[in-house]
Amino acid sequence: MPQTRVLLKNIGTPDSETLDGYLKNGGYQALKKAVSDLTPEEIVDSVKRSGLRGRGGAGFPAGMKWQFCASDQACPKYVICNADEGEPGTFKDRILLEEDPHAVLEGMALAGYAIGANQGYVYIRGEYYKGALSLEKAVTEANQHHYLGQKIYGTDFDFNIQVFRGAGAYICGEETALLDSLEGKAGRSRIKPPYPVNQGLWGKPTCVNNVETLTNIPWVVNKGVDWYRKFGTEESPGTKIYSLSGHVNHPGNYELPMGATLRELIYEYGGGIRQGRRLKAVMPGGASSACLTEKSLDVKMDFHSLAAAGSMLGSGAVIVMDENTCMVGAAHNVAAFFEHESCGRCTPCREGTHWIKRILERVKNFEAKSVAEIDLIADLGQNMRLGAFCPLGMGAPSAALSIIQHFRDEFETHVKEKRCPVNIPAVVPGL
Amino acid sequence: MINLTIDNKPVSVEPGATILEAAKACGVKIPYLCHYSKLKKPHGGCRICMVEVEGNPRLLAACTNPVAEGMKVITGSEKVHKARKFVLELLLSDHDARCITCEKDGDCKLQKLAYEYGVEEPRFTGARRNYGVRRDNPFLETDHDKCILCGRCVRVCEEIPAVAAIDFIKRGFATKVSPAYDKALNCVFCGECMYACPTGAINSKIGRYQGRTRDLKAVESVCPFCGCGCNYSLLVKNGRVVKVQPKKNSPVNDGSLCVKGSFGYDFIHHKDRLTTPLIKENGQFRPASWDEALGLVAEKFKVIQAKTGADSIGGFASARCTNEENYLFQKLMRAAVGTNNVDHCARLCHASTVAGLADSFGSGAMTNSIAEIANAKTILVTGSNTPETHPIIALQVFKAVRENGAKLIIADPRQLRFSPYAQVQMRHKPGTDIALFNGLMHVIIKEGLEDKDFIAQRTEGYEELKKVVERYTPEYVENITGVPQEQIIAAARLYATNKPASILYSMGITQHVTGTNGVKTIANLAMLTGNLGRESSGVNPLRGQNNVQGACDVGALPNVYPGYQKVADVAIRAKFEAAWGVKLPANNGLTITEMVKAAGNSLKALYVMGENPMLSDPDLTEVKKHLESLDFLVVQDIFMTETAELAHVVLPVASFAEKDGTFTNTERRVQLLHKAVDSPGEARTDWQILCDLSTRLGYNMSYDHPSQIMDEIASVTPIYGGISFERISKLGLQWPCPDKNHPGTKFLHKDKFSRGLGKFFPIEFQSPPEWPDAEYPLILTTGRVLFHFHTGSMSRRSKGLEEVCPKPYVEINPVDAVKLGISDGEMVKVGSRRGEIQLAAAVNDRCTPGVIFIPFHFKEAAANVLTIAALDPVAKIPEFKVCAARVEKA
Amino acid sequence: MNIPQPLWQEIEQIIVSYPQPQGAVLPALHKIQERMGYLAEEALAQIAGHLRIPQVDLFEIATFYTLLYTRPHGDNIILVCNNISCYILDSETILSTLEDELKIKAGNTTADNKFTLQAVSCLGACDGGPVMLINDQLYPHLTGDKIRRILKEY
Repeated sequence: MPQTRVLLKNIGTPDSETLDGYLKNGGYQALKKAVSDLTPEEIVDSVKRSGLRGRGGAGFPAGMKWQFCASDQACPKYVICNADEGEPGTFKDRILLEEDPHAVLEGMALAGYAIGANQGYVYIRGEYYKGALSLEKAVTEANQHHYLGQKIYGTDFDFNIQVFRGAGAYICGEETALLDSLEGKAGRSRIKPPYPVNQGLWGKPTCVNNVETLTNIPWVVNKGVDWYRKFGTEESPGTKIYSLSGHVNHPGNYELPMGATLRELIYEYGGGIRQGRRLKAVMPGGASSACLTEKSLDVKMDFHSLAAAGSMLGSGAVIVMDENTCMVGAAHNVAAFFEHESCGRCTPCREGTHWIKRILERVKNFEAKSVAEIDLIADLGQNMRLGAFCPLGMGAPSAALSIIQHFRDEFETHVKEKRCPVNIPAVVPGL
Repeated sequence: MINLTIDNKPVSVEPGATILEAAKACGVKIPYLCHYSKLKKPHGGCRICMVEVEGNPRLLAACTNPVAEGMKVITGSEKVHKARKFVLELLLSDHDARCITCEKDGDCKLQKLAYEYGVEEPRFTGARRNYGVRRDNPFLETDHDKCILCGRCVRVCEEIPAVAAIDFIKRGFATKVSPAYDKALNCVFCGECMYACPTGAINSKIGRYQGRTRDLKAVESVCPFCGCGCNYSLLVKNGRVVKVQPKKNSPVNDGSLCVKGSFGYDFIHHKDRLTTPLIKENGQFRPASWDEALGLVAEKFKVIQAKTGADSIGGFASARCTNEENYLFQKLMRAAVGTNNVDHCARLCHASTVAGLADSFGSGAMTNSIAEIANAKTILVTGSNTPETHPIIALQVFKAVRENGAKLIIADPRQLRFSPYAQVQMRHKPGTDIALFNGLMHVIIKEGLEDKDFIAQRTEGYEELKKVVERYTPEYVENITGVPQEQIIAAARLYATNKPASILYSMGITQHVTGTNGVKTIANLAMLTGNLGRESSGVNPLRGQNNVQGACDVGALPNVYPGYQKVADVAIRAKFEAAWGVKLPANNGLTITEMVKAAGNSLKALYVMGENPMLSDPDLTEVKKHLESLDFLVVQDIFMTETAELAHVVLPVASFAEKDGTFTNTERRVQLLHKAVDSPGEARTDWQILCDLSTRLGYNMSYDHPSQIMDEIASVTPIYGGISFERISKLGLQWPCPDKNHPGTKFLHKDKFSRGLGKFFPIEFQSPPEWPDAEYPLILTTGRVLFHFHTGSMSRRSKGLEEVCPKPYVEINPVDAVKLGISDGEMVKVGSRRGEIQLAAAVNDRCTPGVIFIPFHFKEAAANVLTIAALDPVAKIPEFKVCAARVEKA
Repeated sequence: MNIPQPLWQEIEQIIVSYPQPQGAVLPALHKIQERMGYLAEEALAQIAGHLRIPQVDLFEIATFYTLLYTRPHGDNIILVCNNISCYILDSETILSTLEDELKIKAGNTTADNKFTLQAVSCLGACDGGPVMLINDQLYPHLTGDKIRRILKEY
């Protein structure tokens, strides 16, 4: 079954990353239309009516964010493209940045026009060398041909974009940590309120949007709200790029209308589980999302449905684990990730991520003394959700807690019988 | 106002207030660890202050979340209790809980909370973080395993002294607080981090293992080092001062201290303390009884008095001693000996301020208060290395600039620690201050920025001033001072228009032969722009010694009685004759500098109380010659100073920690100190010695307690009229305080100058007495450093201070160093027409090319061997800031 | 190790391109690292002085981000993804194979200073897992043979 390629439409076309390629695909027409024929208010209104929700993980309505920012009188204002794609399992933005960078830039310019900003920054994670190069080149080209810079399309609208490389910190994907990082500090989340839309970069109104969110914008402006809302569900309109990875036959990015089911994604697009094995668990929204099991495969992959199923859409990173996966190992791996990425500011996250990892390490290595240690993880997780400073700490225990909930017997076997019930054969040949 | 309830208690607070602030307002206790009331911005890290807010499934940190109308906050629920307990459990999971040997045991916020919440055996077991203890600096010990990463230390270091020596290093669980590159701490060592630390992670090395809070008796006192007059408690155990604790909410220091205050107190119990009177025989001191020693002094004074007259005896009072002691000292000299030859080291620092401001305004002291500085819009600092000499006042400047957006103008030849914060920094040639400020006034008048109303209503002599500054065009002034014209213009505009503007100055202005004129020039500038008589403005001379203001106030000066009442005034003299019941000499006495010159000639005997001219006075070779030729020299001090070594009789005295009394700080605040410990050996307080000696001289002096002396001071000194020990027992009072109901005076000259109208003095620039030439091509300027005080008799006997700054040095600009082939740390010879010393070169750009700087604390390379004894004709203050010198390889 | 003059000029250009000079911190540190290999103490002190930021703040930054180095590292940096998508495709074996081949533990540099090996968070190439990044080159679908072949290219 073919994908619904809107955002990925240009990917794979000749020279898609160049200005020529982008123009051939109809690029910068939305920007032209906007600055020539539409008022900023009209654009904000369209984005609001489109129902577009942030694709970075939180799912906040983009139009509302823009409106808050547009209505703040302070200036200058800034548009920031959050390209700090760090959620394990996610690689959708990377493709857009590397192969369709102009779409991102056009989205940013539209945001700038809509909220009244003349400066944009792309905050791209340090590991994305190729994406940064591609963006840099695109910015240069767009500037040379006046799609960016002064007097865009002969109007009074100026918009400049700078590419800013992160340096290896997952927390910088959180928008206020990103702002601190951009301001030349260690990226630690800020106290909210104030919110970035009012006091963001250097204390000025700032609109921070995810890469994928921004690439939706030219479509909304070009094709209109009605066209846009034909895709997806009422409450989660549009398409979504799902990054499918793990034990599937065909991992990759798949763009589908919001609301496609997990089963469709894994079995129809992903070609099912490798070597014909059974699916054991799937994390539908990256490492911060609670895992689901086979029972939940018919859940619709939208904000609302996944939340109702006890997990979340997050960044749309679908990580599939087959029956041979040791879930203690998986939980430990995710816990280790969060321990490594905790910024250290608040006690629950700094100490909590550490202890979850450490206890899981003990379970994994058959060193845990009693099943009470497993309960301690639950206690840790609850308190982190309740009291951590920022979303990282609140989301950090989700995977571990859900894995324990679904696969408690596996943990108990590790503790009581000092053995792993799953025998993992090496999947990497040639070692 | 926002209305909410906390645990069902209704409370109204300002919009923007946090839940924590609202809780405080209605008396609900919310625990916290990372929040620190001295800091403006909350941190929100520890998560102990979590509370429940109705309608919110999560818990909110009370310290970061603002209140909202109708909010219902619950602090006492099971959910809250459990969450807090859990956080404590997490903190303890990784805490080295060896409270048994912890310095903070009993005073630790973590320990208290852990007890309160009943956190017993932590459920998290296994190896802990093990970063160990760092002890690689003289003052602070950092125990990383007791650190809870609340960040208080990091934040205070950045926000209060603006040092930022430490920060969070790495992230997550691996986070620790450390200096850059994990090196040894190298900062101003103020101890602010230690006072802020809620646990035992940061301790004083000086006080470690000497007593914990519950074992200590706190005795309120005043720091004995500089003129800031910081309030603190001496913490005493077994008769020893083992620690100090700054006083919170003090209007002077608000819980802060500098390195000398925090760690310099150990001189109190130094083994070198004098414990018995000493009499010199055959060039050697021998112990003597008090009776014998004081008998000898009385006898000698009487003989000399009879033979060559009372005016052949002189006395140096002390800016280190209390008001009561200085009062008695001048009373003894005047009433018992019969001479006005009494002076003290104010002569060497702010005599020109006293003289100059008395002429311009009518009284010579800081016009405004320390706490007002933070609210000034513009601050002009000139001739003051405030961050080193008055660190606590510098905190106000940092606060003004960093928190309140004030603009800082610096006019100083040297680079200062707050130079990076300056809007305009003018590095003029030493000794060209008058030209520079005339230049500023020229610009102000030319651009019409003067305060015409103020000039018309409150001043006189404006036309004459205008005439003189007319020719000080920016071009002309640039030629003299070396300051670029743009800077002069920028500074003038800023100072004149961004009001209120406050001037802070110190010895860079006063210690010149033109010191009095320099002070008057500054007064001119302030009057010209109307920056006087209002809050956060003014002319603020920062006084150097802990009680130099008080020693002046109570009459330890040769021309005035207590309260600046003139000796020459017959009516005044009559008043004191009546009060003291004795006929008083009518002629003004000699100043310190004059007494030193007269020593061995017309002056036969000298009585020195707690001063050390053998290090503090200019041209030491000459000073020594004179002091050695005295018939009789008495020195009373806590240590055997360079001056005491020359004495015939040395009297051991009590330190500030061993007596009751008052000090008056630089902002005119009279403050109380209390006896904390006994004096070593037979040492007595200065006031007791003075009473004894006076009585032996035939003039009876008898007081049971210093408070009685203060009552007598109040009775004869109008500006101290309302001051008594009882009134200042909680908080000092700022003079003028004329009567018992007067609240004291925050700032001077509000509606009227002390002299009526403020007077402009037209003053021309005049070159310093000695200017570089081919033989001595460099300008030598002298001063203090952060880690030492005055002649070092105290600070150099403090373990930490001496460890961190053990050696004399000369600062030299790299440009000059290259020319001379001198490298950093190399020994060099510095010579002037008066002498030569050897010391290490410190090659850095704190001085401009052509200028060198030597701190004067070090006897082994005394800067004052080189300085010139040229005097200001009015104030008789020496030229410490400019003389010609040369540097050679040693 | 001081910052050489030509590099200063580039850094100056970066600084003026930000409305607030401090915004140039990360780009400047990247640039220094690119040219000088790592963030030497002197270089950090120079930047701190120039931007009027406490040096310790820069050190905080340099230790906060995993791609910044305050100590010299090998000529080539190998970043091995160790996150969940790669992990379930046995990235642990990939890492141990590299450790064996290079005879070092992760977090260290080979004796000949050729490689620094580091296990890192997700590299955003999960469809190619297990993956590693050597300098700016991504290597997907790793196997033991592939690793040995790749290492020979350096």
